Amino acid sequence: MREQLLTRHFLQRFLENDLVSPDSDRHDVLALVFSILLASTLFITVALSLKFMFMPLQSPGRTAMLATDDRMFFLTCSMIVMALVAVASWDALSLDPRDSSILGPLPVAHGVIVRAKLRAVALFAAGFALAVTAMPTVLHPPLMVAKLPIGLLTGLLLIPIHFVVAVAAGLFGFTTIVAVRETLRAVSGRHFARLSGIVQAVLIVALVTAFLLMPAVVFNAARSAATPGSSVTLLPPFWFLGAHETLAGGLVDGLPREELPPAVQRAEQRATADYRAAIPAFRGLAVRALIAFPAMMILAWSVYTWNSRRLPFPPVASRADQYAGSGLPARLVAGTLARTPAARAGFFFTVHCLIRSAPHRLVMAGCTAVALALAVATFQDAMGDRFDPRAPRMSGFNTQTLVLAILLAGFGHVLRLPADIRANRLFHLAWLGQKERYVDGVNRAALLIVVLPALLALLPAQALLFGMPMAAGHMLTGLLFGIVVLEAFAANPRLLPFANSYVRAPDLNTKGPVIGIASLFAISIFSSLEQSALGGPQPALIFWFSLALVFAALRYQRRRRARGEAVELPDVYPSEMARLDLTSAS
Amino acid sequence: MTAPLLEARHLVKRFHGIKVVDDVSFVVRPGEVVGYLGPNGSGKTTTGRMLTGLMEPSSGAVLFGGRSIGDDPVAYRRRLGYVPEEPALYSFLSGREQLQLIGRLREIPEDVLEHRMRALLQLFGLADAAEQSISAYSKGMKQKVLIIGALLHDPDVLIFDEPDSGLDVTAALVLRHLVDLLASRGKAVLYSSHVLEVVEKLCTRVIVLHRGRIVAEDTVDQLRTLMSHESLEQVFAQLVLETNPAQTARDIADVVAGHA
Repeated sequence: MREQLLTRHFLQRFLENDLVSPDSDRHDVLALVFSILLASTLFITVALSLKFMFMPLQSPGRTAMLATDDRMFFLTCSMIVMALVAVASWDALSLDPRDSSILGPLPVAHGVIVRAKLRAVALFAAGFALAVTAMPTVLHPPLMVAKLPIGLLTGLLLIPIHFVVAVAAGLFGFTTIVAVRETLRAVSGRHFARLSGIVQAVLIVALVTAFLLMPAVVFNAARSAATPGSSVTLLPPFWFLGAHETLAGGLVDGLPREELPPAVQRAEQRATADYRAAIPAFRGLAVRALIAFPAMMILAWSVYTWNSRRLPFPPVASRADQYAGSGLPARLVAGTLARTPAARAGFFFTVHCLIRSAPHRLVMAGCTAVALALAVATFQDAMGDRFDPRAPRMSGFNTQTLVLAILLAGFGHVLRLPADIRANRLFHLAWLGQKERYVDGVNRAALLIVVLPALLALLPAQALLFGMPMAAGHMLTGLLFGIVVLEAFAANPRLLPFANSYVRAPDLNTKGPVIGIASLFAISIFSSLEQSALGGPQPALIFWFSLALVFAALRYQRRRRARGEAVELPDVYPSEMARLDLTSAS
Repeated sequence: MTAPLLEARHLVKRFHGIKVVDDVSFVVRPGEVVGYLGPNGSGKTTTGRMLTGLMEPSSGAVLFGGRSIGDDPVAYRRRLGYVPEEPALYSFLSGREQLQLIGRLREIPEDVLEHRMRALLQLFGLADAAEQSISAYSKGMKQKVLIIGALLHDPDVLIFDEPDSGLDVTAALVLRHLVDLLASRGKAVLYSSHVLEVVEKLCTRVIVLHRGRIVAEDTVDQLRTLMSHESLEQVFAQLVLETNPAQTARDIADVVAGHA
């Protein structure tokens, strides 16, 4: 009874997420998440299954080959989505100090609390695994074999096989994250609180990037698996594909072949040969899945129970936490990039928010992942088989601008997010209206930790593609582009980075697609202009000078407005504060 | 008598048409510690927020040095220190980083800020936890950060909203002496607290608020004499208590024991 009650309580904790606004109805959010999952998987399943429905003269060999790619897609998708779910619920995966302070004094055995938490985590994972795999399980196998001469029972057998393997793949993804988190917790001890956020952000970047690059990996999965020494078979989704094909592959491949026209017959024979050549590899991969799945479960369970042997309490201060003053990098920044107190406040507050505040960090991690996937896909395409480093080519020239636009769009969004609505009161009280210098600090921090790292990361690939002189010029353009965009963000008079309670964002439901298309169009024009300008030194200088001029104009406008503006508190008593229930009486 | 430094003039605050602060007027002079008392929900915190400029009154005005604080809010904020009731701090910053942010926003020169932070963190016993994330701080530690933050820029007006909440005995005693000392150095202090014993010893004058209205304002001695009571606690009880605390306590004990 108590365990059930606690399990329900812990399940609710999964909805107390930094990604969910405290204002929103948690049940609505849950319904929305599940409906998005079901609708998107339904759409994808139907889209992937259409090729079987409309395939003239469908045959077992070609079906088996095509279905392998689909299954690879579903299994990878299930694994990555489940891993992302685990990363998104990072803080709720284990007992925390708040649980200790509430449940610790109650007459509930420690084992009951731990078991309830484990059950809640398992139920949460199972619920999401079901939602992710339901549509592909129910729809894909029947639609795939609908036109094949397969018996009803054999056809139906494909459904539970798909279900078991896809759920196992999803749970493997989820459990891997739990194992990573708990191992980190076990080895990092009191430093876990600080490391945890960074690891979470890195995992988000890695998983979203993997998700976006997934189509490239799943293509021709059977041939990749059959290629001796192929490194892709080290990827866990291939192990589960091996398990799936070992269990279900023969059900389709083993169907009798019918008489087909010669051209189709040849394709069928080729597909059958390719598929059967991959069968030994599938068996080897299945063995890996068979070992890896329970091994990961045991690892996660062991380290989880080890960490749960006593209730966690907040770390106590030690000599390592003693007053240390500003470090050398901070003093360096204070002496160069942020020389006034307000600029320093803006600079360091931006760095702290982006790195340590969960909502800000998650947005930036998501944008970094999208930018990274885009860069990898474009450069991989540009450096195709026929790439010759001695003959630079310009394909992928707009990648840098696109990457910067994605990262800066994310940064533009996080500027609107309050660092902490209640703590902002103290910020407001200390605010002396020095917005210009504060924003300077914010922009310089963004240049240093958002724009420059992106440019430096892209430089080697661009130097290889376009040649070093062009890549250096391109990088300078990127820097100027970043400066101009950041200055444009500062033009919003109502925006005080990280300190507003609420700044209305453009209505993305209606304006989003228009803004997106317009941005792509603008980036394309900008890249074309840049590419022609970088053809010679004089046009390049004129181009950069023009960008500097745009920046100067925006900056002048901001200064002029700052001089004319009455110095107000950022947002004292706006109606939005009432909306956020901040105006309660004492 | 010195001119008032801070003045609340006919302050009214309504939430959804309900008056939570109703025609509140008082002054705080340099060198004075004014106690601001009242039961939960009486409007103390709302008054505090209006006095700091964080909340706009529905009507009435807050004057600083005879001028409305809206005339030059920055000048007012430069000379105001505020310890809010709830310890809302940026949980992802360390104590040092929180104070550094506040100090820099207040444009305190870096060397002065560094010196004051180091000294105050040491004196408040927080030096050992200065680099630790605030999320791991106890309520008392957070309260100390708030108090240091309010004092960093050496303000002329201090508004303390239940500053002793969560503080240990030593820190509470230090705070009491500190408030006394600050007043003796010419600061104007508004001190809101539920610890009547402290208010009795510390405050030159006391304002008692009940249901948003001032029900008494005088020196502690004068209030005691007027109401024929020996302690401020008895005066307070007579002014604002609507139930008999002893009877309520008995009722609670009976409910707990299952007799009721």
